[in-house]
Amino acid sequence: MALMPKRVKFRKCHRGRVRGLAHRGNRVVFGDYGLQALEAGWVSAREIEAGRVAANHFLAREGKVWIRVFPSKPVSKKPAETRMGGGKGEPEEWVAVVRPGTVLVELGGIAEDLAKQTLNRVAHKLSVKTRFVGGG
Amino acid sequence: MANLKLVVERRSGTGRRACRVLRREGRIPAVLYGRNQEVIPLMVTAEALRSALKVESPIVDLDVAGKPESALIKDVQYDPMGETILHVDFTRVAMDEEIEIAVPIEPRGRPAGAEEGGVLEQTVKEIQVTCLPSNIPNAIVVDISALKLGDSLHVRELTLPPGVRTAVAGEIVVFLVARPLEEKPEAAEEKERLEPELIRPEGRGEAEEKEAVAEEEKKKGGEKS
Repeated sequence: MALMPKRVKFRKCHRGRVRGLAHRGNRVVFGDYGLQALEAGWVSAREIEAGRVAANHFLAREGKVWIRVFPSKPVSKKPAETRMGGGKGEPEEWVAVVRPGTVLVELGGIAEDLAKQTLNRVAHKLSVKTRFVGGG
Repeated sequence: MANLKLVVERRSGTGRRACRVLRREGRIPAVLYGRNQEVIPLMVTAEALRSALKVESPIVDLDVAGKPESALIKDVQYDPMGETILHVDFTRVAMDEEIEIAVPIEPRGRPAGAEEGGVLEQTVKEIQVTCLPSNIPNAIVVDISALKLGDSLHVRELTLPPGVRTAVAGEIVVFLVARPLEEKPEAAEEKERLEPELIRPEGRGEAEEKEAVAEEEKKKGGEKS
């Protein structure tokens, strides 16, 4: 099951603009290694879940994985072949707003080469460019 | 071991604009303070600072316009991407007075519990220690190879180098070889949840309901007449 909030105040929200750099959540805090976003964008709950599954499958219960982003923004979409108008579409998916510098995933308790291989697999599931970062 | 010497200059300009100019010129703004003495705004070349940060000891001998000062690199500010150094804080230290400093804890070896499927968790990454500036350890190295599945290592079990002590509570867990969490099969209820629940203030909800009922009645009345 993909991540989504349990309770929300509003079902739909504006798209907004993703400006600037990540001034928080930009350091590896929990684990030893991390995956840092290099560009701004939206990372969907589906991508996050795919990354998590890929990491857990590759690690085969070794080490620990932390997901540092949460998809709290609803993205609505109008159905296919619908004429314009009639109000805003229904919520389609949930996304996490990502700024350059955001640490998306962290790994701990494993060797660096294994962490690099794992995070490379996670990076392939994400829609933003990322890089491997060490802790400390 | 002699401390690394770092040549720094006094800077006259302070504030955002002056600091930006400095950074463009390849110099990094810094500040020296502590021991109830004058606060001195400084600047240091980026190359010199990078080489000082590579050395493991955090104590440096500053040369402030010919006047030597022993200082501790207290804080280094980086940009959000973690690449560029923005500012450095130096604090004066006396080599014969104890200071309190955070030292990283590093595990050595592979825990025995890892063979049984355990996952090593490090709950404390740094520990506050008190020691003389000349005795600051680079890291507190801990041999974790004896830890079995379910075992934990506490602060009181850490072997600190001579002349180093800590005031951190001994019962705090530093390392833990935990059992891996089983992935729970999703509950049917979870699967059915397609949309989150809406948060409605209780009082307001009732009022809105009453309003809606009143409006409906009004409409009905209008139709009759």
